[in-house]
Amino acid sequence: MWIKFILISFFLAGISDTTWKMAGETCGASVNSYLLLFHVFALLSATFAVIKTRTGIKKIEFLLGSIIGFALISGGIASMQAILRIPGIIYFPVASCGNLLIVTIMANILWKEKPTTRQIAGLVIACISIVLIAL
Amino acid sequence: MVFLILCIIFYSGAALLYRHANHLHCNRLAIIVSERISAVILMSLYMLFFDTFDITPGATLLALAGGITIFISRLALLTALKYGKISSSWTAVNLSLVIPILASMIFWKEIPNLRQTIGLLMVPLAIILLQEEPGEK
Repeated sequence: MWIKFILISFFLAGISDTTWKMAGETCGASVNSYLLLFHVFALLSATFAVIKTRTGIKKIEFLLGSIIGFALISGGIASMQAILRIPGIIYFPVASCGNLLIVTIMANILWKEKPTTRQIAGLVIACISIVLIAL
Repeated sequence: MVFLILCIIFYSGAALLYRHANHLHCNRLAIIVSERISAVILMSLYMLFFDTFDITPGATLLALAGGITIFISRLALLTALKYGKISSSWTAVNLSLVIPILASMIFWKEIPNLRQTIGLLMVPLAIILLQEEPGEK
């Protein structure tokens, strides 16, 4: 079940990232307008699904979701500033692998999620492949 | 270096909050709607103070495609978190950077060098290894 959903997420996140790349290549000065519209359309899709399924939003869900949205946008802005100040050779490996390692360590501390030996090997290979691709 | 650290903290924080939301049995759609509301507000404020609104048909079409696909991707990620660990799920989704790279190769003839090709070939292996082992969950 995990592999099915993660592959859907993997492919669609990749397609979404490709539209970012296409916007970067074709939109020129309107690239930030693209970013705003990107979030607006994602919000409209989610709102449509919420109305269709008659889903209510609890306070805790709104709070957590809002913090996640804030973190994602702030992370994007910080990432842009970091790329402007730090050479890519340092930024990409540190940002990508740092992110993966912090999530793994914190998940272990907070929810006792202990990766198996095979998954640790997967994490290491993922880090190496990100470094090789991004440098 | 401060921005690099902030970037890692914010992105890792978002991933951990996704997991926490799943732990609290929060509704996935409710989380995504709330996440996007704050994203739209923040991005609008950013545009208001640091940029100008310049909407073109091309940007709108790309944003439509990107917005819908990221919505479904996030929904699938939050569902995947029910069945797997945050560390493996987040890693697998981060590996999706290979898709824009493949698109760059096809559409913009950006040919990867040997090192990048090896990295690209390692991605499927990493995803297979990150899977939960049978009977683990």
